[in-house]
Amino acid sequence: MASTEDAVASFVAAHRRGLVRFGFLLTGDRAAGEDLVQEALIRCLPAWGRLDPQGVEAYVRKVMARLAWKARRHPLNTRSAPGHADPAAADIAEASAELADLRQALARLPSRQRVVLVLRYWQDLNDAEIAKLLGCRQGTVKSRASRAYAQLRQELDWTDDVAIVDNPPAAREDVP
Amino acid sequence: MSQPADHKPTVLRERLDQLADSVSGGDSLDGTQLYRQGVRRRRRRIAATTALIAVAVVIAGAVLGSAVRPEASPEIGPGPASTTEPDGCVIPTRFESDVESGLLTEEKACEYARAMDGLATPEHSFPGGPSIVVEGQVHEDTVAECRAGTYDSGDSFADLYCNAFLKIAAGALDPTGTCGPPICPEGTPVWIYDEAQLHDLADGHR
Repeated sequence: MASTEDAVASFVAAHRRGLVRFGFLLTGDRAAGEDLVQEALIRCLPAWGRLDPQGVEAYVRKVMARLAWKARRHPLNTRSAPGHADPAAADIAEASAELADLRQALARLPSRQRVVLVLRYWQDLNDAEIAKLLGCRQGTVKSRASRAYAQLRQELDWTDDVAIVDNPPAAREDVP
Repeated sequence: MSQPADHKPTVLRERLDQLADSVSGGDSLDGTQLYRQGVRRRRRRIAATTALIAVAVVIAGAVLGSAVRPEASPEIGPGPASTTEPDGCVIPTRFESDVESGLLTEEKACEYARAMDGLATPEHSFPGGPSIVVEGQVHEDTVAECRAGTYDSGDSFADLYCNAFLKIAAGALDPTGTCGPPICPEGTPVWIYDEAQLHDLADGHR
């Protein structure tokens, strides 16, 4: 029992930054992202001893994506309140105004659209992989990704990113 | 989650990367605290689920006019991997790790084991009488996980829990539905009680 506790502690210390980044993108909010990481880790604990040490992070990320996907029906208990000031906003505003706009646009997306968008464009998963991960149909993935991307384009007035349209991950044939 | 390296980076991906990179945080996450929180949650879940099933057993026994006596079952004996306590309680292997780790006391483990054994003992016939189902509102999340096949209770009871929760959900949706093993014999009619009614019934039959 103590060894599992130690293993969890060292895993969290080593991976928390990467997981929080993923959680932030999935939720559009840093505090909610941290809560998502925490919830996913707790849900992984019972299976911890059975997980391949090399695959733990991927497993936690899967759980995070599923939780974020389901959060529409079962909102996570986040520390964030509507209209709160996300601490990440200050970090991002310092980095660039463009990123601040992207952050706001991402946060305004419906949660499921945001999840699909992040998995597709940030995690580089194709539609089949996303559908399998989230337990939904590929058509659902395509439509949500399309709507999410269209909304981002509209809100951010992007016209220079043809590459996204021409090379969507969904078109890849190299992933079974 | 695969991350193919040969995929052409997109503008959006680069911007998402920059956005993620610009976020600090995560320092508040503490693995030790998370671990302990997880243990507490599991303890609560085990207690709540077993209490739910135990109440169902009590009421089922009362409805049938015979008390459930799991220790009377010839099928539930101390196996080679089981531990027999001084009061005659048999702690099945499935609870031994929880007892060893301090998650459950021996007394609680015995109590849960009796309740579970009562369910597993096919000594009762349910001749069309009502079986007991609790309204499943409080288990909505769990039911959803059971349906998706992702429910993980962290112990060997996942199937039993899911069976119970799904039956509860089915009953909640369809009052004329039926219950099946291991909660009750195949085809047993399901009656729906809300939580308050169930407590009243349990109190009245004790």
